Amino acid sequence: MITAREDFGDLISNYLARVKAGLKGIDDGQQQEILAEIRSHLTDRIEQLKQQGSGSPTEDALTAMGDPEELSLQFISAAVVRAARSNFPWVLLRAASRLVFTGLRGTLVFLAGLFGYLTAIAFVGVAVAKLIVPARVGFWVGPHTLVWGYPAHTPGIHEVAGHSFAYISIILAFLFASGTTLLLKQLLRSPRAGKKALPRGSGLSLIGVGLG
Amino acid sequence: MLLMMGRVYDGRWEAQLRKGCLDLAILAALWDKRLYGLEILKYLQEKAGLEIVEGTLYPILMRLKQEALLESTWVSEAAHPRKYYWLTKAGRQRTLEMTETWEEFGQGISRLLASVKEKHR
Repeated sequence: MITAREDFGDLISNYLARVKAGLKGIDDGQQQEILAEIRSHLTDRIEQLKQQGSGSPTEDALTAMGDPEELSLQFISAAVVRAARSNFPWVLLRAASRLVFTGLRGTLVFLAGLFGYLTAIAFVGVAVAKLIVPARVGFWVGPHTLVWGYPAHTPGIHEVAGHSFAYISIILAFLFASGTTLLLKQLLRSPRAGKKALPRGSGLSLIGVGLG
Repeated sequence: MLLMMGRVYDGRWEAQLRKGCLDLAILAALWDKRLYGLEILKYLQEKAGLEIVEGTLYPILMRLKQEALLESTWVSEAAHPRKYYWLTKAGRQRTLEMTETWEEFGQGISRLLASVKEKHR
């Protein structure tokens, strides 16, 4: 409940600070633009509500604006959606890194991407290593041992892939890279935010609009 | 339980349906004019009865701009700066495509609904 004594400017500042806190991962210039636009909207909205006779225009304007944390998530989602169209791993991974600040799901998305691409790089690495030191690199199998690459000790284990090792490694690298790319594109495209896009029971009759 | 599940499902469906039309509604609002955020909200409400959580508009505008469908500029003519949006050439083309898709989809669903309505008379 807000009393007349409370500073409405502080309410707006507090709201903007909460939005800003959720915008980590978005560059500073874009953050400032987002906050400036929200401030501009609130200024207009408060004036409008005053004219409509609202007893608590600032509070009403902030309520209409929506939860600041949810709003931040929607901006983050909007910021990464363009990247989701890219097929370049570094673009996707950079976009995913923005999600780290949004919570556990975002962190897991980024870590999944990082793991996938690093694994692909590792497969390429061992394929190249196979060409350089063919006798030491391969698919080594032994009692309680299974090594894809360069084993620390070779006694008691033997290599089973032979010359196919490099080819298989390259294929696995491709599968990991493309699989990770598809996964990231899908995860970045699926909106994390936006659950509160429309108030329940709003006046829109979509069937009427679309089919009427 | 089934009733509960049904209610949950219906709510999601309605939300998805409404959410799905927001992009088109915003693009349509900007078809022949430059508007700032609050004007877009007012237009959507007056023309289509579409009320959204106000903050939701801005991430969508940001995304549409990133997709090169919108352009924007800050204008300082009023008491404070306002960010105006308008359609780019690609935005106009996309709006036409979406409108066509919407109408085709709507007509198809209308035919289905007509059959449902007929059976319940």
